[in-house]
Amino acid sequence: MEELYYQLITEYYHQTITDRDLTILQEWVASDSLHETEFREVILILDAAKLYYRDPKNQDNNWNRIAAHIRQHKQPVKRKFPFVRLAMAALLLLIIGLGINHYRNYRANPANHFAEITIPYGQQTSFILPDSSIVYLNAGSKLKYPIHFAKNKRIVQLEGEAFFEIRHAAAQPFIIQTGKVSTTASGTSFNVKAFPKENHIAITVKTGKADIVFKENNRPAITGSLLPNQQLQIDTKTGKTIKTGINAEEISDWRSYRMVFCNATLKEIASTLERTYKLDIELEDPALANIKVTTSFNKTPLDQMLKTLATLTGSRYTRSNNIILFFSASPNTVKTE
Amino acid sequence: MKTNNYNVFSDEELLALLHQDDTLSLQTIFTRYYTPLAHFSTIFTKDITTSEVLIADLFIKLWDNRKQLEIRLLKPYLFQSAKNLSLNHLKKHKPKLDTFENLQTRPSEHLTPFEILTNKESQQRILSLINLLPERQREVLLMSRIEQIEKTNIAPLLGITVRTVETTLYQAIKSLRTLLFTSGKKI
Repeated sequence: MEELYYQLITEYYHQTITDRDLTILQEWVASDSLHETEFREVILILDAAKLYYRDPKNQDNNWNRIAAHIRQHKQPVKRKFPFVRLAMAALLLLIIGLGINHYRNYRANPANHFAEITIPYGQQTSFILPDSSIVYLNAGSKLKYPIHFAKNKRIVQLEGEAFFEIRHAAAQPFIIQTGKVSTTASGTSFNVKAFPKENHIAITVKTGKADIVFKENNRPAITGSLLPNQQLQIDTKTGKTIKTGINAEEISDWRSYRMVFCNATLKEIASTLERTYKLDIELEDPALANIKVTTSFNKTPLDQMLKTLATLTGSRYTRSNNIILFFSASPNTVKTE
Repeated sequence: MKTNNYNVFSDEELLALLHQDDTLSLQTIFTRYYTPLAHFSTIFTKDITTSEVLIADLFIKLWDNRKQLEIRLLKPYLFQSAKNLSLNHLKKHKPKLDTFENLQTRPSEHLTPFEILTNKESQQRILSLINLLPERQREVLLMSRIEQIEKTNIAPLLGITVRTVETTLYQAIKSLRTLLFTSGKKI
């Protein structure tokens, strides 16, 4: 939509529009049903944004507090004594001193040295962190962690998918940062899937409890807790969240090359297979990408899996080594070679 | 209330009376601006009760400093102070968090975009999406919804030009329309 018409709509909404502009707006809205939808949407948004505000409830109480204050302080407050300035200067020096000290500590602190483990496509691994927690890192994933954890918290950064078995330490919460989302636990096992490319994060708790915070503009905005066999899915683009009950066992089964797909799109399944088996899967017809499939594989041979997927999505595939091409099975779109 | 006859005074006339220790003028300003200031403050604090306390503090400060303050225009001063107090408060306290449960909306994949727009839930959805806008867009959109604040007031509060306010507001609505559409369709 052009900015001009949007301007006219807001002016219309505020009833400040001129007669001439109103005619222009009316003609624009009438000229196309798409314009009418846009007009309606803008009005709805302007209306809804007003509902953002809750009515104050304590106006009278707050006025009484002010009135009480006025009764006590009829006279304006006197200027501060000069020694206050002196005290402030002394305080400032003290703060600078503390700051330098803090910086020295920071440099000496081993918690600021990091290790980074990256797993290429077609592989997976498990290893033990400095605190004896166990991490299973899936194909195409990266974990960054300090060589020595801080005393009050254990922070790691994850890109991709990992299953954690956290050693219990209540005073030292374990925090997994994945972009805007961080997951906190003290002694829990759970799976975090957060491939940066996918704009989609899924956290599934197997045992214990995990607290999740979703940040917007670098500030915490949404929070929630997960219990065993609960999954939280976050669309990092829109912030939409869905919490569901799920079998956590199945979610973490990728560790033994067992894969369960529940209502997953062919595109999602294809990227999982690409990572797990180091493949290059192309979907020739874009319509194939969004077909939803529910299926499971248990160390199934690759060709068997591809066959199953082709049958379920009504498509066909060709394979040469690691390059696989899915195409629509209907005669109109099949390519002749 | 006794403030009735004071209501005819302009902001600046009230300010002059305040300078002469007139408590009734303070009460008139309070009544005039309490709600819009509290609303304005919730853009930052996201919690009306917190904001109400901050705005009351603002009026206490206004009273205490009435002799020292050199204010030419009352309204910009009040909103600027409300912004400063709110941001200072945020530095000391973490903002109140929404929970995933509060924001959960029923799955809506069966709705067409038109149905989404006519649906009662859509307003609730827009509200939860507002907090996902880039900070500046969110601020401008919400500020523009407060009746006492005009475009010309928003610009100095954010340190941008009136023209930028207009463009940002346009972008905010555009972003919301995109978010509304994609979140209605996906998952």
